[in-house]
Amino acid sequence: MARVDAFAEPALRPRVWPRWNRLYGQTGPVAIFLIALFVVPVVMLLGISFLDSQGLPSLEHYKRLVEVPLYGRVLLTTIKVAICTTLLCVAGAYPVAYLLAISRGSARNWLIILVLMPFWTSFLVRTFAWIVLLGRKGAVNQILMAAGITDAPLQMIYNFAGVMIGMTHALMPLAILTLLAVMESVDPNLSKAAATMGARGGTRFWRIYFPLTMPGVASAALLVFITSLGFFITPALLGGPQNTMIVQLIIFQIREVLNWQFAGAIGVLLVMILMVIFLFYDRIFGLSVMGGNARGPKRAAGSRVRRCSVRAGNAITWALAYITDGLISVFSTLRRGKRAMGAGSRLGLYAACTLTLGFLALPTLFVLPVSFTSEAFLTWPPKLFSLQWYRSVFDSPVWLNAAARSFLVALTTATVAMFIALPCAFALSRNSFAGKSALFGLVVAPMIVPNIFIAVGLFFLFSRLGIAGTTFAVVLGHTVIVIPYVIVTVLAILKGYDRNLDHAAATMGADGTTTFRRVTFPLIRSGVIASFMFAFIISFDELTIALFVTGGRITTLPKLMYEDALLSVSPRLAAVASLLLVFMSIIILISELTRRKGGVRLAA
Amino acid sequence: MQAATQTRTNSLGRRGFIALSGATVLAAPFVKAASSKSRTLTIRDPGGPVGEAYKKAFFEPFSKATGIDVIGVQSSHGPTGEIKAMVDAGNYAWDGALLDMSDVVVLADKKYLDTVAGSAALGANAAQIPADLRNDFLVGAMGYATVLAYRADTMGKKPPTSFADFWNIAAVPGSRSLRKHASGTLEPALLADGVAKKDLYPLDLDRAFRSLDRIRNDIPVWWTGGAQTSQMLKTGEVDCLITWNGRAQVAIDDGAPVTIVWKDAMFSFAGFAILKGGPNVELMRDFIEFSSSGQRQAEFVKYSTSGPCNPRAFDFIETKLADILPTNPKYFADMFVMDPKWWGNNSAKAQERFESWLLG
Repeated sequence: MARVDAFAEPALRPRVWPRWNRLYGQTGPVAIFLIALFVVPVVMLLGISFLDSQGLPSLEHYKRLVEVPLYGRVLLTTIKVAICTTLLCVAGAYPVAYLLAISRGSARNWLIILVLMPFWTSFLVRTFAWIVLLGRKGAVNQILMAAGITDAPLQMIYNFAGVMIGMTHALMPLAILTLLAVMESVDPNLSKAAATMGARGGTRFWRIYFPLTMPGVASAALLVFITSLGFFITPALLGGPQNTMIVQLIIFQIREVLNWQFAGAIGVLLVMILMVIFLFYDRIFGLSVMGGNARGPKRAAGSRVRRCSVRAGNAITWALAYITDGLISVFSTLRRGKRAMGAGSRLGLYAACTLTLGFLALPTLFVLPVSFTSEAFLTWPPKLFSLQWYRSVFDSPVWLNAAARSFLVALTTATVAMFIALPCAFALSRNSFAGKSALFGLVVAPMIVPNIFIAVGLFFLFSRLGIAGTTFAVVLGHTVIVIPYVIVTVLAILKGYDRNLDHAAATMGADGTTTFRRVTFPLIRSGVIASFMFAFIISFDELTIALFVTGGRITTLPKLMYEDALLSVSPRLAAVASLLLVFMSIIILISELTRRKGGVRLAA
Repeated sequence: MQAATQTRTNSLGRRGFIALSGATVLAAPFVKAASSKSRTLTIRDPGGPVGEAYKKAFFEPFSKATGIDVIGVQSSHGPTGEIKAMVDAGNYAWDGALLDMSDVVVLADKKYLDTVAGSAALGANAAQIPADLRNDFLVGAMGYATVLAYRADTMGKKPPTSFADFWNIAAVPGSRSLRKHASGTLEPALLADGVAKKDLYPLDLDRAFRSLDRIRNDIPVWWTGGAQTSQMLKTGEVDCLITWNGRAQVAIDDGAPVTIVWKDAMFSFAGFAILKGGPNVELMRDFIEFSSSGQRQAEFVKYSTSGPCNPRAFDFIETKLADILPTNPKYFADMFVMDPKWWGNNSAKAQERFESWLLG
């Protein structure tokens, strides 16, 4: 509104190819890929929920869903768990992402490694680490009781708190990376400008910085919320009897009683609920108009829900700004003078980040020493010192092959996903075209449908094609599930991207490629790298798809760890996790170093 | 002019993407798994730490005896979904699978399995196996018991000797854990309530849940994975729990002071089953007869803590090992075999009720 677009309508530019053609190129690959490998198998699988056991059309499974109160109650529990996880993750991630966004150089590298740590310790090891740390006889209770803080052991897991600890820990890195991608594109001069206009710390943050990072908050919340709906192993191990998640019930139907029709019915219910949530989300945050035309006047005439929520949001941030300013002035009058003020809020930031990062690193700090234990279990304190678990990994071709395969699969998946999803994200962000919402729905749908359905549907499809049990099949399956993550993160970064920069470059005579290479890409690079990392990590840590589509013929690292853990959670898993940690830290360091070099060259 | 070139470059780039992904999609049907040479059997096993045992005890000896290659493929718990998909699609990645009896009941009901004997009589080896450890679709190869296990250091003074003791928290103090699953939890509940072993099936659900009501507030941990119980016994997170004998044995082997109560334990078994309509049904039948011999089953238990289903296997097992096996005659006499038929027909209903009961 305040900003005048140099080229108000992209259509004004002369073009050789009609617009629909270019759009097909941008969006076609993703659409075809997802229709073939996601829509077809999943619809086939969910479709049978409308049949009875004789294969005739019937609503009997839906009747059972409604009549037995269990399913509704478990669904509510699941949603409650997901909402609480989302709130905790975003609240915890925000200061850390901010710290990352303002720090540079080696400090930043170390922070990134700390943040990503939980990812490299397989979720099973992490969960068992929490069990050993927080159990009745666990390390934390031992310390608390020895220090005389408590007399009896605290019940920290096997209840709702346990579920929150496990899930927040698993998903917070996702929130941090999503937020970071957006925060890095916020111009720090805006806050400075506000300061020169007399805005105090609270106002600057709540009225300027926070609204600018809102797309990041919104997409981080969405990613965490949806991912947590599909969790089941962590809540099952850390939760109490009342924390059953809906996916557990689906898996029981699929695996144990082989009632795929009823499982499909639960799946349809879950997908419908998610669609409703998405619709609301869209109304409030304008998801499907993320990017491009979002700042046009069209938006202002948007839905009433959106207008109301914008007004409510403004009121809330205004109130928060007022309260924070008040607190700061009280605080600074207590501590002498204005000087302390900046230091005080810095101190608060560091304290919050230390807490969160400590929480993220704790299981890893546990895993490293335990991998040198001479016992056959994960225990605290570990009986040192033995290299037997490392030896057992390096002596086993099975483990080495699985690690190599996982790495290859993750790398291929991330690359393929970037190649086909990135153009689509550009199209979604910058163009408005017929069927845009439908396309957006399609590309985020794999995130909404529980992985177990994608896995079973794909296994069914791949069995018919005769490619079940190949590495290629795993790559295809993983690409399906990472596409939404890539698109959502890239959209979040593109939303904050000022297209006038591209137009400016064009007026200076840069052609399309040069503009992309020298202007657009450097600006969105951290977002693109972040989404590549997501894709890599999600594929590398993925279990459900791998369990099914490998058909037992080949194995990936998470699958091998899962199978190992089913029978005994041995310190070998800790050894594997430690090796991964070291390996991945090296990769991150290298990528950050090359990134920095590139940045220097560009600046010069 | 400038703008025109720009657009063209872009769209060429994007057509590259289409070509690339198009090629990927089109290539898909032609990338086939190297499968089914004529004389090869592909058999699923659960893998994991004892995965080698299947090879050493069954697959390799069968290859040596017949010249037919046996490829073991690993898939973890509940392979029923995979089998359903394979048989429905008519594409057999596996010829047979090592299955729990409970899986067999579910699959056989839905016509996904072929009979072990076909039209012929049961083979000599298979016939040695007691009638309650086999049915038309599965001959028991190895089995495990669901037992009561306790920490001797904390409960040694007043150890639980039966499920009734497990339910009696006032008389036998100690913290407890039960499986978050109806199967293997409802039976102890009924036994603790005074039902005799022979009268257990069909399970009286009302009575079982009334019995569970009595201890619901005294169960701090409802476990979900077997490895979790080994861990809890090892660290002493709880003092006693009901788990599979192999899971308790792992903790004992690592030096944890744990005692297993074999009395009234529930026995379940697993064996090799044949996927219906596959290309190697007859060959699988030969394999099953081969693997039913006492000697093969005795070889298997060297690597694991399952009990052999063929009683003659104990002729080949040394006493020290026999002492920890559930089918050892001195323990087996006091156990009962879980009724897979009842569970096959009622598991969905029982589990639904169990989950509802947990929610309170």
